[in-house]
Amino acid sequence: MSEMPEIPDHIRPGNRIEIGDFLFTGENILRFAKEWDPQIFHTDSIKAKDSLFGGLCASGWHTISVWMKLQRAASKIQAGKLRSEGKPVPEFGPSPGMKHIKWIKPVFAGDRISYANEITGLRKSGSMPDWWVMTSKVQALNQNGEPVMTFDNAVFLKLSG
Amino acid sequence: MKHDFLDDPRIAFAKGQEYQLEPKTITKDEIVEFAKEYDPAFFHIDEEAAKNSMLGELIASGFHTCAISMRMICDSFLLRSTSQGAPEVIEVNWHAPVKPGDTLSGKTTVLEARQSASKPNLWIANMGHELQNQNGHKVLSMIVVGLFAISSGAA
Repeated sequence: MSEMPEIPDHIRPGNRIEIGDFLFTGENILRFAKEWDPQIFHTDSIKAKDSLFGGLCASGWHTISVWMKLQRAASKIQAGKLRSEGKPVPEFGPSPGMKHIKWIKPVFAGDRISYANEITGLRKSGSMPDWWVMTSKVQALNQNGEPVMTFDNAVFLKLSG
Repeated sequence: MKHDFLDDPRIAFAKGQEYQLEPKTITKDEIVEFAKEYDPAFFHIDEEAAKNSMLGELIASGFHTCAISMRMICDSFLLRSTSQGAPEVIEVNWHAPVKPGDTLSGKTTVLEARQSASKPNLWIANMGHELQNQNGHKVLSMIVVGLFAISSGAA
């Protein structure tokens, strides 16, 4: 229990992991926004031109939910790789929260956003035996390399020794 | 009358203003549907398998809870305001899991507010949003920096 288990690359502090990209389209921006965030700059391409954003753009909750989607897919691939090498697979649990979500630039229809995690810390949980807390800085860039979103994430992680 | 009130963010989103959020009930199907698309962890999509998870049962994705809170905020006051989006969320805390059948209610409190120094037609308000379940347990809290147009022309 007191030993530090073997830490795979994708959760090792100091590493930066590219987890994938996603094309935001008028269709998927509208579909998310109509259900969860129907403000005019997310749902009306004409009226959005008069908003601060200057055009139809994705809800920030859409941009961040897509990070989670790509993160789950990347974890699945990592788990398969570790399993094939006969190594223990870390189990991702829930997250206690996030800090400093910054929606830096709007995500417009046609933008392809790529996401990366920079692992910033891994420590034993104070409250949950067998569980660790991994912290990371998440960065989302558009096709021009401009940051559109950053945030600090935390997640519970179970590591077998 | 309420529309006029929300038209001027200097009044509607002055420090200390509070808004009740209209309650929303979450079903198991909704939890699974959201999670299949955005957060397919086994404890969000598989009721049986979730019994062996950290929390021992099926729970909603935290991003689903955030999306639900956004919709409650939109329906309760934001869509009738001069909102120009939010550049930042200072923090999001998931205090307790949201489970199938939960009815969430909540409150928004304006914690800080000021006119933008660089863009005088913008009002900047730090909004504290809190959601609780039907048992009165806090499930979500967050502090969002919201922008609002001061002249109705920009809205």
